[in-house]
Amino acid sequence: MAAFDSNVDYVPTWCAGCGDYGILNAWKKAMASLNLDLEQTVLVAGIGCSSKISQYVNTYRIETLHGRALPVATGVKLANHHLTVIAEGGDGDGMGLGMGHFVHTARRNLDITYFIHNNQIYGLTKGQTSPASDLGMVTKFTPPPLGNLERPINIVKMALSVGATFVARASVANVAELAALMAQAIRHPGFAVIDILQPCVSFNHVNTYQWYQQRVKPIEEMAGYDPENLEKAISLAGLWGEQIPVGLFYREIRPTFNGSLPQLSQEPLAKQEINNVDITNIMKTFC
Amino acid sequence: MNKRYYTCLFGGEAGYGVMSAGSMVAKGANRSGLWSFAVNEYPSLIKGGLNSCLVRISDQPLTAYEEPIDFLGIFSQKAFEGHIHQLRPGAIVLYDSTTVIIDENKVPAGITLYPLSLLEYIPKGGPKIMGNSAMLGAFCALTGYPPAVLVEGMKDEFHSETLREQNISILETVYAHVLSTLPSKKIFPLHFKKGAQPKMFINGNESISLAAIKAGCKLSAGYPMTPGSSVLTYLVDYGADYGFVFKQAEDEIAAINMLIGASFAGVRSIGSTSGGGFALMVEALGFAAQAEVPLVMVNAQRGGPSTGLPTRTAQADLNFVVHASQGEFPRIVMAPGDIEECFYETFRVFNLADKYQVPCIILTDKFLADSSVSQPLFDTENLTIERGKLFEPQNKTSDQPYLRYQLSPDGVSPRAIPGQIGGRHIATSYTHGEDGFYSSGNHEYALNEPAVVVAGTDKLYNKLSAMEKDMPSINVYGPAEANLTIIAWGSTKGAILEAMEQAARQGILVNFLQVLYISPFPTVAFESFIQHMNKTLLIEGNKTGQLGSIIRANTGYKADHSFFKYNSKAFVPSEILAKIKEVLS
Repeated sequence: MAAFDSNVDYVPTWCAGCGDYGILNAWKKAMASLNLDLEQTVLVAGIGCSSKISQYVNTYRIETLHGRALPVATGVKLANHHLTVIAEGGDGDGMGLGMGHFVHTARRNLDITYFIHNNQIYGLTKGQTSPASDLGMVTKFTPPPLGNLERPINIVKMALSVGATFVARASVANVAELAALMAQAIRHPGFAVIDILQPCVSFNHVNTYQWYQQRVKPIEEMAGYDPENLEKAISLAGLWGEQIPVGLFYREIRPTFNGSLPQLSQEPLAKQEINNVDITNIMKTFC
Repeated sequence: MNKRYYTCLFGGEAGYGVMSAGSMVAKGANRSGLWSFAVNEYPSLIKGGLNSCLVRISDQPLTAYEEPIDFLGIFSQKAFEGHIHQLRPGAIVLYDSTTVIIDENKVPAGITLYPLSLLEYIPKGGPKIMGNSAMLGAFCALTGYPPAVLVEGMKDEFHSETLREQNISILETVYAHVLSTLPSKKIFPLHFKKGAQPKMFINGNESISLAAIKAGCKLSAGYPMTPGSSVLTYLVDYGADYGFVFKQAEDEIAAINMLIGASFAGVRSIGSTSGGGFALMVEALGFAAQAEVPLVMVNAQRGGPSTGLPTRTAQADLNFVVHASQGEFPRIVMAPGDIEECFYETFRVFNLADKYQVPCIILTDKFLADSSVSQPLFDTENLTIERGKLFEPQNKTSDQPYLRYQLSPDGVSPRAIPGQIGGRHIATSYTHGEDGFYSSGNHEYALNEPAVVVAGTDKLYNKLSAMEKDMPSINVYGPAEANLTIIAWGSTKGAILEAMEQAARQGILVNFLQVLYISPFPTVAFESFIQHMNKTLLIEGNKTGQLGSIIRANTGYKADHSFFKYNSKAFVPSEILAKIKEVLS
């Protein structure tokens, strides 16, 4: 287990009771269960409270810009497709600035994993409405009486509709289940997304542990559940309110972007010999 | 020996193939021992408008073009009206008599008009673009350009045998017809040689692409934007055999972040865009600098601000790229002046990016990116890949943790590549200490933040002294003693060199200081040269004299005279010569 332990010298700066602790715990359990080679694993994080997880784990890591984890992860994977690449960030980072990248990474089914810490609020900037905040939510930027006037993005439904091939939701309250889903997502050959529900104890006083606990329900127990059927998955993904389904919504094996490129069928680009490239033949095409 | 020139221009609406007609003429001359320079002009549209291809041919190497033309071949009224002022005395105008009506009284004396119903020669149902083969046939007859040279070129141009045969047949039919109407056979003023030493006919963007492949660049990501994106098109075309991967990104922000990801993972990568796309990339430029990830980005300038002039040239992004992004960090800005520098300096920039782990910008413009020039094959013999300091696991002892941002006198720390054993680390966009941690994640830093910040910032700037010695910052051309020194950057170089030749022939001594690497600014080299000079003339393709302001900021020096052009056109030698005379009068 020690190899998967956090960087002990660096103490998390998350608030006491933050859901990110649970996610970090599940992360380490997932890596241990897969026995991942940490030297061959890259965590690509955005910027935000959730992205600080990159400071507390022990793989290769790159802390990118707010919203830009997915394109950086894309570059890493194309450069060396033998690496296990995990992108991670919050609902604000991923669904606000990062939304365009999310849609396109999903439709190209790149073989990477994306963990979204979803606390329905901006935490590190101290409590503004996020694209995942519920209607009517009161925050610093959406004061009463109106509160938030925009419908929240349903991350699972979004991921399903734009072509992610592994889509799950988990609550951080159940670390064992989250860890198991994380491991499955990493193993999945394609773009795998987990919408991880977590409370923000400092700035979201609506969607608390209790709020989630009262609503989450294992998707396997719900009528019409079939993780091979996209229509049914989208239908269940529409549930958000009294009942919030958690578990694996959908899984599909579809050719990946990186797997479809003949240039990546063998050695990664990063390992190719670059000394003495001969360009004589191209020069001749200009003559 | 005086250079001899012949300039022809093919013009018409988009869709008539005037640019490929020009290109075939230029390539044919290039293959026959002559030197060609082709300038394409086109508005931002697909059909209609006014496209033109000006081809200047000489018996000696060319670095520039001039506006006056000896032959005008046109398919539209607009093309006639747009180019009539360029006709040299004695020029020939060939025009399609179904689309162009010319009032002979409005044409200066001494101009030969030759109307011909060019489109009539297209086989029934054939596309109007075939009219360009009719035009080429008539061009050969009217000028004496050997038709066999174009027929030979068409064999490469057309992959479909039917199309090839049809076009060759049109060319030969029209050639024979026009020849039969002339009193005698024309002789082209320049001599075509068979079996001449092969030269390339290549533009700036193609040269940059070739350099990238030679430099071992394996990945590019980009979003289409004229005139930058043809670098990417060429890489897609030529790179496949070299294992090269191109990823079209959803936007420029994604593109540059993909490049940073690939570079972090150890692959040399390149992006190419124009000012608007570069504007979107600016935040990530600072990310590359902060994380010390090597980055090579091309900005092929076009007119601005905003959408500006998508297909016209300008040199107005210099201040922007030199200062782009928040905070302070060293960067390399290299502005190639010609095709050779596009190749050799791009290759060098890849090495510099790796050695100093800094973002590098190759600043070109539409004129350089898109104009094709005769160019001997590049000499790649002595080009060596230098990857700079890389982490070597065997040099690490177990009680010594790997520090990605270890402080060192030259500011550069060994870079570990994901997948390397013992090199795990965090690369980051945060201001950080040697281990890559931001102060909030490290108790020691939190107590000592000011010192960590100063050390981290100084680390970036400590790279400068070695970096500056490692780049050919300025080029000097012309005599050591001169009446006038021209100071310029980028694609103005070619026109300046030709103007200097002409000036020298008239006994005017002019030399030229080209600032090739503009950031970091070569203060020492600039000052030591300029202090011995008499009068100076600053030449730039912008309104405000952006290089001039950079020179002033770095050295306090202000050029005596200036010549700024921002009318969407490149400089030509004659106007520079006129300015030289004006300044010295």
